[in-house]
Amino acid sequence: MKSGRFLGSLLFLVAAFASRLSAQDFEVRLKKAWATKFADRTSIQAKMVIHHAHKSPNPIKSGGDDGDMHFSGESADVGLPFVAEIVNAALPGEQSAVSDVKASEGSTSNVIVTGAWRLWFEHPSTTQTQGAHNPFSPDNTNPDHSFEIHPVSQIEQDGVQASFVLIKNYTPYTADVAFPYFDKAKLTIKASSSGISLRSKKLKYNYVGFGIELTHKPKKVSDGYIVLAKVLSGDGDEEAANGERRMIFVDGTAAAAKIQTAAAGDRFDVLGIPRINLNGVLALVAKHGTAQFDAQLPYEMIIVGVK
Amino acid sequence: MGGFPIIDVAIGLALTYLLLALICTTLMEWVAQVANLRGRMLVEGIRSLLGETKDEAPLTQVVLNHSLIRGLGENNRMPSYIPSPVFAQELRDTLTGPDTAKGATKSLVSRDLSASLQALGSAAPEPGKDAMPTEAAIAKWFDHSMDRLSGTYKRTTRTVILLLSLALTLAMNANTISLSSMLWQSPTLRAYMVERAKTRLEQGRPLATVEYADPLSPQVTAPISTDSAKSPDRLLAEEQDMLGQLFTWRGEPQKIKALQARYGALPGAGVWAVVALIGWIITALAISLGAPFWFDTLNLFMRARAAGDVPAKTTETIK
Repeated sequence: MKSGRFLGSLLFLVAAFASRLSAQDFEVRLKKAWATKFADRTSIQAKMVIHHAHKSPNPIKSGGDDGDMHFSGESADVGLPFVAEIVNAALPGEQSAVSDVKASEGSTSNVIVTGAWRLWFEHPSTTQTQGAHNPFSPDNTNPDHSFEIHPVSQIEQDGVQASFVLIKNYTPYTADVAFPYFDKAKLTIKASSSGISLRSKKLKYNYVGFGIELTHKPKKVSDGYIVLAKVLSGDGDEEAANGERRMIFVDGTAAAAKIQTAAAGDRFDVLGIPRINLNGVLALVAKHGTAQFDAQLPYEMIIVGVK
Repeated sequence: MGGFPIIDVAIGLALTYLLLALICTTLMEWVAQVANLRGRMLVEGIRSLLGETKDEAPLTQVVLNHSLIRGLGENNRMPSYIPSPVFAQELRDTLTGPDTAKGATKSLVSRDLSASLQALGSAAPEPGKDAMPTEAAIAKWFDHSMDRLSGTYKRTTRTVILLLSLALTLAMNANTISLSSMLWQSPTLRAYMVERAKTRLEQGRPLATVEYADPLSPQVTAPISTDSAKSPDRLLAEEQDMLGQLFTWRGEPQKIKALQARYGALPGAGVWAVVALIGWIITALAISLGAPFWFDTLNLFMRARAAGDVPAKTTETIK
């Protein structure tokens, strides 16, 4: 009996130790003024050098098979290796932009890419510092990155705002699965006078299908709308997230058009992608100064489509 | 959870490795600063980039002596980091400035560098002129080279850390096998280590930050410094005392004598040496995994002990 318990404990410790070898934390260090600039913006416009692009969009099913077209590169406007993704890239209206991307792959010339900025520890590097030299590795369409332009809304003159719609035949993650996970996630934050360091474990759940009930009138910002809303589960009966969350609507999209005349109490079924809420991060930093602290992950949802 | 002493032994070991790794990190930073490891590797990287050798590096000297680059270092030392636009501007100025017209600088350009510049430069240079690459092209070339240098630096520091871990282990006689045995046999020591582990976890794992020269501009620029070198995690006085009491060379002669009495003179000394060697190697390898690793492992073991997650100093919620 005693030796069984000993062996059990020993096996547990070995398993726990092995899991520690794979479950590490990841850091990204941002310039505070840059974070402040984008905290209340839905999107970013970046002059991007495209290193690699998918030959064709992802298939559509569930999880990572989301119909997106990925392309990776760098930009002085971002200062981090990043990936941009066109949602619904197989739609006929997006083909001109898709061709632009393919034509620019491997070129040193800048391509102006606009879309929702997205900071999320989905494919992170151990440490990345904005503006410093960050290795572009692995050198393919999916380098280690915590920053994305996702979804893309425009490439050069080709608008792809019409791609911001529900993804046909795609099964997103449900609110009951994704939001409790987001609410449980933690972010460690520490600021200097000009920079902010963020540390997190890897984060998941890209596309989530959920309901929202607006608690305020949508607020117009320079490049779209931001609205506070309750997050509802699929059947709309229960709140799936702990309190209100910011919903981000990029200008020129069908989702933004639907939301701009909405009022508090209105309900919508949406497809969204999570990102770190920089406004929330900055509010916490304002309170804590340069002390290090742990916080419940401040996140908000980029709305891709409204049913 | 007193019925699972092995978890407490694991906590004691993880805490010990964490504290020793913190000492090792401090030693590593001290070595890096005293030897100006980053600055020296940067010079070597630039020398290699410019196609020069250690014995003959005139262009490297000219570039590095430029005021913009000198200004990046402290106390007349080489900087540990050069922003790629600054290097690109310096190199272009050096190669296209007034001295070049007189041929003074041109003679410094090695054949390798000339070939690299040709490859980076315009495919169709103006007649009679060299194809001089743009600053952006030079900056990118420099960045790629710094990628490789960064990998080399990491490999070098890993080796130095392992050597420092070994030295520290030997100096303190930090033998994992002896410590495990002590922890296994003494419930009091285990309880003490668990309490110390709680205190250590409450300190939080330090997160490095960076500073930027133009804090109010939202444009992305290179950071000017990082506090990661300051190693904000210091050992508490109680932790220093604890390490001093756990590890010492004082009792070793008695241990050897006891083993010799049991196994004979030579075999007894041999048993001691083998056990010590294995214990030291385990300790040194464990220390070289680094403080962050052991901090998280300790946190994991503490949670496993069902003491609950040790609360962070502040856990904020924001919508």
